Amino acid sequence: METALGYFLTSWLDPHLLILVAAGTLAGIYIGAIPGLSVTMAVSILISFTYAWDTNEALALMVGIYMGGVYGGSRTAILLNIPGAPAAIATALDGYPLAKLGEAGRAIGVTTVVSFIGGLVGIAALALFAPLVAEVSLMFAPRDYMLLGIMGLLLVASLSGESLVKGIVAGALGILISMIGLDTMSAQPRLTFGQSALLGGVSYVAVMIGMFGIAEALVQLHTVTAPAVKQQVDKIVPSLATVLRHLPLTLRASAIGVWIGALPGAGGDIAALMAYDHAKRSIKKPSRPFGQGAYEGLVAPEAANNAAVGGAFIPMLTLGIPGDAVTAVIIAALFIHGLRPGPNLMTDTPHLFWFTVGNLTLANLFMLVFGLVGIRLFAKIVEVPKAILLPIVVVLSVVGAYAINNNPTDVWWAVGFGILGYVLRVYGYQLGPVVLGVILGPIVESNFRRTMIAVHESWAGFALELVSHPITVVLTLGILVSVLRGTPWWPRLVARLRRKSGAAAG
Amino acid sequence: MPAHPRHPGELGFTLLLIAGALLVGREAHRISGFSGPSSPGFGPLAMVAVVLAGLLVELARSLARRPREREPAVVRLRRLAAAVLPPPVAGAIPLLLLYLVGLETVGFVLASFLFLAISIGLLLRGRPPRRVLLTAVGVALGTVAIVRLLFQELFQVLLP
Repeated sequence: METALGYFLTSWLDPHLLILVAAGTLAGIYIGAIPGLSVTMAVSILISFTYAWDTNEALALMVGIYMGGVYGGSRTAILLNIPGAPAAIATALDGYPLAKLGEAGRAIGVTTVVSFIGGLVGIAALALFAPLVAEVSLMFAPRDYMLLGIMGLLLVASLSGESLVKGIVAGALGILISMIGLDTMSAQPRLTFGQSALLGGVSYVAVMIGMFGIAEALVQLHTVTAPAVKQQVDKIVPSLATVLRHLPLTLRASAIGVWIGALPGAGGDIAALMAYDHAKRSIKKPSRPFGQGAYEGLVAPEAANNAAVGGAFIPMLTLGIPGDAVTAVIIAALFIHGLRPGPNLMTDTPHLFWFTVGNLTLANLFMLVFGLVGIRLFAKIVEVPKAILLPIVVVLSVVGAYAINNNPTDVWWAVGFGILGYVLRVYGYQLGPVVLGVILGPIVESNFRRTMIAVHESWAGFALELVSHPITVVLTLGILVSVLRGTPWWPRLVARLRRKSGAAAG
Repeated sequence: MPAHPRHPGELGFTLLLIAGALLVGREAHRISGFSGPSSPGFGPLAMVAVVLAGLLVELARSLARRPREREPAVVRLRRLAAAVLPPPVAGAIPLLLLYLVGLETVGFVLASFLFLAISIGLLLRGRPPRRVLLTAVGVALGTVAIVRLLFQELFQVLLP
């Protein structure tokens, strides 16, 4: 326990790491607040810059950016009705009406405090549950990892875009990209089209930088002529009474955030929307009608999206399965530093777990401080026009892609994937599933092949494997439900079940 | 049947993706043919099958959507350009490719400076020319200097 506390306090006591977490959180708040820049974009580009760093330093910075970024998106959602990050989409629903009523300062204050509370709940859940999940996951067989990977892909595919089919296509495309190069089990070249340059595969960081950096910059060019925004905010520290009044909802929304965040593939954006929906259903007498400036409509999504940060780290650290797009990128960072996230990470490198929990807590604290005091400087940076910002993002993406291996080919890959990603986005294909596919592809494929070898390549044996253990049954059912939800039969099935249960009750 | 009309170029893009998937499928088949499920070629073939199945569903959906009224080819092309390649994007992509070529020929500092100055200048056009020039050159110089100092010193990364 003492050692755990020591690891937890590493960044708190080391001025160098402390500054990195603070700088990361501040940068994250700005990046999250600037429409067009996303936390995923920032962390993707940063990975390659921190390649030469010590693992602790790199993680301290990235965790700060993640925590700050999820919160930062709420600013522009409230002030301008433009969510700075997907996690702040639900925040705009009541946040913007509040700003129009002249209560922007108060709304931001409340948002900051509930984000802090949500963040704390998420971190507590991570500290409590991750060791338990890690213990359970030691019982996982290869088939379970395969199922978890598929479940993550299906979840992100079904929740992140307009159509499940497009999400699945995007995820499968990501897996295909991960298969380029020498096969890890047979050393046979795959999908190389006879090009020796492809034998080493495509760097996943180049894919991420292309998809989240360059493609995003190209998409944002569609609205480059939108005028730069001026922001004006007055008093923002909320009263204790206001915070206490919303505490029960804050805690309930945080619980939703942790749960959704911990599901593989689903992150803060989904958590925020579900918490908003929960607030709408459960609060009978909101401060104002929902959609017209109800504080409850602000509290629920903001508590949930920050709680989802801690939640997303649970599957990432214990199973090596990313909880959302940012944790997918952080997994890539851990790979780069020679670490393998998964059940063994907790036993082999316990310091890393408690160090991350400590960093998250510290970043959460910095978020509260910067959120409540850093308002003046804040407005200036957010006002930078996209015409200046986007070319800089491209240059940083290029530098980042080059820094992976000091190889110009990676830059071409990043730009190539950037252009492909842009066209995919234009036609409604989300890029989150592609990147998740790149990360999860090797996990799903290698574990599928192991399972198949274990059952002597018999499909009947494979089907039996899928129901051979309670954990496996739960995962298999989860996947079946995810698939069914995307089909036209799902609403009919739900309606029939409702009628049956209604008849039984009647 | 979906009510909204087809997105410009949607059908063509889906067909292009299908053609690409078939090409990758042929390459995947070369790995180990249709041999056992634990063979190295099974995964790529299975994923190509998933992509193709999904794209065929999307193709059917696209076809089911109401096409726009018969319009002259010029109008259709213009609509496609506005949806997929509006002027800022149409300018940015060739500039980006030139930048990559520039990185290998004239080096990071000059190529990045030119890329930033030209793209910021173009994106800000319509404003007073003197101000645009000053902003574009100033931001380009500042960014290149900061990137060079910050990343080479602090992050210790090699620049292209």
